[in-house]
Amino acid sequence: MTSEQLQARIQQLHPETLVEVNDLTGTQDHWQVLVVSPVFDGKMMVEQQRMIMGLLKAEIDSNEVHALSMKTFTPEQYKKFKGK
Amino acid sequence: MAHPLVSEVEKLVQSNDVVIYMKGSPDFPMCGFSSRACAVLKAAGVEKIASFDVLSDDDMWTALEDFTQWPTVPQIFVKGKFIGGCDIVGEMFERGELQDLLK
Repeated sequence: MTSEQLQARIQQLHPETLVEVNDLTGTQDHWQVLVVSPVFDGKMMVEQQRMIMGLLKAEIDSNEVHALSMKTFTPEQYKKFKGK
Repeated sequence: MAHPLVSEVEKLVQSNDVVIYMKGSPDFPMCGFSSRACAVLKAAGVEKIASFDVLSDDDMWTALEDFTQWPTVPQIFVKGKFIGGCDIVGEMFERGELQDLLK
């Protein structure tokens, strides 16, 4: 899976979703992603991550995506995080 | 049909404030992630951690993953709610979310 494909897939969460992807090993299967989306509002971090994993279920099950490290924020949380 | 042991998982997580399903135990962790998760919980002020060693019971391990639909261990519960694994607990600690949950 390419970084563009991964980015587009996660973008499906919501039009105003900010997605940054980072290929940790250059092998396109160990990814680190930053996702900021209004759909995360009021959700526990594990639920936020489950939403992303759900979008990538086929690639995770087929091991095309082997590792996925996620940092998720609501827009407000991200403002606070960046404000630090 | 849920795994027959799911009710056992529910019983344990409902009857303790903080529960960790891990490899080994808080005093004798058998995996780096499990050990780190325990350290984060202690750093957040948790004194009593109820734990279950998934290495001691494959059936319970399967029931756990069936219950939470989460593929890895450790798995941490606070006040009966599944909050995630080592990375999530660590991130929530850094953001102060874990401490709020424990109040």
